[in-house]
Amino acid sequence: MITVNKQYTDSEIISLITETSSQSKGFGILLDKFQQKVYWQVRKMVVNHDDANDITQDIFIKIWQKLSNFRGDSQLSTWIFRITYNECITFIEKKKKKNQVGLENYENEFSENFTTDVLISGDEISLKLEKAIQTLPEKQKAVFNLKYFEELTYEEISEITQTSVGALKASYHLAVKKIEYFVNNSEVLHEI
Amino acid sequence: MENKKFTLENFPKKEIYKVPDHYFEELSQNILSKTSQAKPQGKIIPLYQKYWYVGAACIAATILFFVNQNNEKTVINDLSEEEIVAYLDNQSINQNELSEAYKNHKSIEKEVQDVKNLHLSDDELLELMEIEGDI
Repeated sequence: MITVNKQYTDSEIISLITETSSQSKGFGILLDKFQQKVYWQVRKMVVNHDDANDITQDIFIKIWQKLSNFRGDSQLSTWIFRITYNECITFIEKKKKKNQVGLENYENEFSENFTTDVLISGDEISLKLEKAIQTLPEKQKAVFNLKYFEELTYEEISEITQTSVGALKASYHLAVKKIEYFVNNSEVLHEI
Repeated sequence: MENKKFTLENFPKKEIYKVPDHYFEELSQNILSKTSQAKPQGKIIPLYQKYWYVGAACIAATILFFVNQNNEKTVINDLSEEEIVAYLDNQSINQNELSEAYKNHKSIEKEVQDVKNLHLSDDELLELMEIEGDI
């Protein structure tokens, strides 16, 4: 692993990765700067650590393979988060199809993870909140995570998800309402 | 919490997910060992192909939107009030559940109004439906 003492800016990293001679160095710095952000975004989408680990590795391999395609039209972080978003959605859709499970069973699998996974722990309300987030449709969940946890602007999320700002605002508003309703009424919802 | 209503705004963000010790160091090593075996290569999709994908997606979304709308209209229009009451009777729904359903309905009404207030264009509404998993 490359030890990075200096804090590189995105434009410095871009300069390194766009030059063939410094591409490997640039990628090492990029990895160091973004791997945790990418991992946590993925983990919040798929819950399971092993899945998040596999997907994160795939994402960085994809980033490495696509380095020559990066033209600097968008911010480096936006480009990386767009790849992350697409990989997560693809993974979840594939998993649903592969297991031939409906949304309900998929949510049950999440619920099981919450009670058995040793890498998940928190107070009751925090767990309820996370369960509520996991009930959202995957794209809405991604939008919610990017806005709430990553605190990105709607414009940045718009670039990542290729969705209009108006639709994102509405989607986030509805997600917040659903989550608050779930947490306040979770006993009722569990019975259903 | 039992007496207080939960709102996201007033709740501190906490991380419930954990990773194994030294995980991120190992992650870097794993990725770098994989990428060192393969050179980066670009696969550029021709512009005409990109437009074809976008066009096909728009047509599919539009068709689905109208199909969904028509289906909903048919189902609702085909039911008389008596049929709806008979259906609810058959479902043996108790008073609590009905009251819960009414509250949900009220909550949805408010959400619909909130979305209306955003004055979204047709395209934005289609995108919202897609995010919501409706199409």
